[in-house]
Amino acid sequence: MAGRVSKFIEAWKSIFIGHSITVRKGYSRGNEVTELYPYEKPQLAERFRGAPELVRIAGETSEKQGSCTGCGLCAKACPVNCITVERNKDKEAPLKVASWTLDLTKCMICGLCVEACPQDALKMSHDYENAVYVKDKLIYDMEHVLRRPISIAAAATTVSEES
Amino acid sequence: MSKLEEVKTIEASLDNLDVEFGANGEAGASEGDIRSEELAINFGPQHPSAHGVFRAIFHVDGEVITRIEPKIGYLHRCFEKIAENRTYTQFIPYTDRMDYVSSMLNNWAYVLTVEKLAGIEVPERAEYIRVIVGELQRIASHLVFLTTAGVETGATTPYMYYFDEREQILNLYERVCGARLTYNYMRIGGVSADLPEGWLEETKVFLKRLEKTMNETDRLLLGNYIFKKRMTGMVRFEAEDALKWGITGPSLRAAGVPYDVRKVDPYSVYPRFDFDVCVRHNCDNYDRAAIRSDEVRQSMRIIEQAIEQIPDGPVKAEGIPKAFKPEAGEAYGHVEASRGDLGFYIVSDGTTKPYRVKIQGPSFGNLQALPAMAEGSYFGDVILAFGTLDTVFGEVDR
Amino acid sequence: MLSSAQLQEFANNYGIPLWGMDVSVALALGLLVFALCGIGVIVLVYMERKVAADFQLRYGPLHVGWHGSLQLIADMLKLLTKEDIFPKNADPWTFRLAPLVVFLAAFVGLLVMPVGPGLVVQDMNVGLIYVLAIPSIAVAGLIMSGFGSYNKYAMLGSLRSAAQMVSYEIPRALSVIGVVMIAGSAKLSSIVGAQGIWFIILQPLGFMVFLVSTLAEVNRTPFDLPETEAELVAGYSMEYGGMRFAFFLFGEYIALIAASALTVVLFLGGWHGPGPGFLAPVWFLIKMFAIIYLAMWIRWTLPRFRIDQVMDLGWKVLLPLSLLNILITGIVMLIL
Repeated sequence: MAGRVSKFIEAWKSIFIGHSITVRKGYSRGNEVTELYPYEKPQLAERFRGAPELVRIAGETSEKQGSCTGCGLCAKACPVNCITVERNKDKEAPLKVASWTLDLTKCMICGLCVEACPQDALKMSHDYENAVYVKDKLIYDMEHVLRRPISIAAAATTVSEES
Repeated sequence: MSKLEEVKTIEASLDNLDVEFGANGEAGASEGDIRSEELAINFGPQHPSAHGVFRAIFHVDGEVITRIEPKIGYLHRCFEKIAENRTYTQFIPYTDRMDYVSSMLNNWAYVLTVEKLAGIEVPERAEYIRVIVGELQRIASHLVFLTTAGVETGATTPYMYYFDEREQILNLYERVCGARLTYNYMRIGGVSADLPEGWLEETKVFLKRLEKTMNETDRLLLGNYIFKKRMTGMVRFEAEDALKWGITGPSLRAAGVPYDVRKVDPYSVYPRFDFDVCVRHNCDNYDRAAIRSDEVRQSMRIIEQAIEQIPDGPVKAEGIPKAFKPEAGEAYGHVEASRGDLGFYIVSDGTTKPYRVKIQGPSFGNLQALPAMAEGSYFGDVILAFGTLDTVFGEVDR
Repeated sequence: MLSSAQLQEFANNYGIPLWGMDVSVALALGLLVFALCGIGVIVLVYMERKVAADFQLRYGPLHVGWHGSLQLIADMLKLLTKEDIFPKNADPWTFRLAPLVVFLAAFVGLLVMPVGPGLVVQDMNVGLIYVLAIPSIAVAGLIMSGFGSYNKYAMLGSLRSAAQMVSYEIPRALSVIGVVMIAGSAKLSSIVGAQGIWFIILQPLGFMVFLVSTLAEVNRTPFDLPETEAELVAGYSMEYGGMRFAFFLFGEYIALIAASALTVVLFLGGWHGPGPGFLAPVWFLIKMFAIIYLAMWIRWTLPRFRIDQVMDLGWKVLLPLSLLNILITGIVMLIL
């Protein structure tokens, strides 16, 4: 009998404690944990891995190809073969890269291409809103990935530099 | 037959029943007795409480389960075959996607085995970093488990409290490697990048916050009378049976067997840390759930010690060529993943691509034991027991 | 309310037979209560979502209307435009009638609640017995829905729900006998009138048993196993979609309103409160919403029981406790 009564009391005690916890958490914190996306965009870390992009240092490297020399190491490093690089066969041509395409439908945003590049020409952008209506738009060519010119200082802080 | 004829046939068969009454007036069994059939219920791949894509056929007699036939393979992605066509470094992102809830530990198991195969020594700072992120990952994975244990029993509020903490862990990971779920952080010979500035202090602050939340929310969920009543004493699975069926990890330690790879076969710098192996002795649902909360606390201890002891230095071993070619041979390496004993067996033939990678996922072994555990228990309890086994189907099917 | 003398005069002046007058007044009042119920459900669903969001550290509906107040209108419009799926082998009459039975059974319980002094649709002498007994017809509605769906999961769910509701009828009825003993009548307005001191203070055990049984009756957590997703994927209402499902939802929320109104009338002093007489319905509403908030608070804190534990609780714990309550009340009344 005493066992039953004590179990009864213990049950009600745990229930009351549970309720006090929920009400305390519910009304003590002024801020909810929800981020009201898309009205508030999240604060991304510096090393955030979005879609890859080619570095174009404003005023320094070529406008058309960034620092890329067309060596093709990024294509070799990619686990899913989503990068295709074609070097210009003509040694005298101004542009070294004939074509550079990244197929974002296959890319798993792992960052191995960034580590492999000897010129530090590749960087993971902070671009995560990649949704399109037509799938062909996800095949990025050189022009697309050179969209954003960045400063020299920012170019120096790629992941492969730090390791 | 039309519905009317069906009903008439059933009525006719009921009229033909002849139930004899025994000497004390109870209804005895005889020929023409009332037939009771087992019901075969399909617990389909789409179900709100299947932890991933899992199909099983439950043979139920009333409310009691007589047999379970699990049918897996819905998440098979041929990782082991893919590994034969990728270089060693290229396979690391694939290991993330096996047990996607705790990716760092999968990475670690794989690079550990490759380092064993090629005889590479990892610098100290890299080992400490691996321990810190690995234990944080264990905490994150156990938070997911505690959440789902609550949601299965109907307590949907602890979900948000635990996931708030997990968000902080994922933010820390984002600062380190840029990703929040599939990290691709560890490399052969170390980690891919050093910790950013101020990360260790942030982690210390986070640990204090985590302790407070764990104490509070554990009282809300694990200390709740209704939760205890639901889970204590149900679906007991003794230690000998557990060992026979190949269960590892927290589910085994809840049965009283202190098997933890970090103590039994230590790897990395674990011998330098002072922590206990959590063991509980009633092998029921509640213990399997509560032991993970104990493990979170032990992981916090390890992280605190690691943060104090971490030295400076390089984070990647020197002299590893980009075209990494280990010598021909084989190696087996295992770590204590958050679900159990995760092992990799790699056979190399001297080229840049492995010859064979065999992965032993702990959830596969744990899932095997489900039919044996569930025989004779109630349907609802078996669903909960399946939840406490904490299977992730990425690991089961690979 | 118009007094019957005024009504008779009105009827005589215009040559309307007396029974016609009664029926039309009853219809009008019923429609009024129905409309108020509709508004009540809308408010309640919004309140549930916001209260849940508070406890779960999030916002709840926020974008549709001012702070999400029009969210429910959007949900209702969505439910109205859904296809009416009728399972091929479902029994037409039982399948279609089940939601109506559940809804009506809950709704008629509201017709005897005194919202203020004299403000009641039909003040019966056996009001308390009526309000405890008639809503049990919902059990028939549940079984109809499970059976008519031609689906073994739905049948299992409805049988469990029916068993649970029937088991908790008894402690619920017994726990209010203490109230009847003190108030000396089963008429709800007299019970309210007799509450100089609120009965929750005089009958704490009765209140506790009544609260727990009521939560079980309206199928709310921790007793919402029949609707649980984890095992039976929505139980008895599994095959229902669109507006039919909305009716089940209505039925559940109106049952909650009726049950909390009953709690207020029996234990919390009904419409008593400081201030002038016309504030009485306001006090009633405040107390009613306090009980509803309590039910929601409980729902979002506690996990749920298993069906055999629910039965254990009803028969082995609450029934003896309610009998004990009657015994203690009797002894104390004899002494004092």
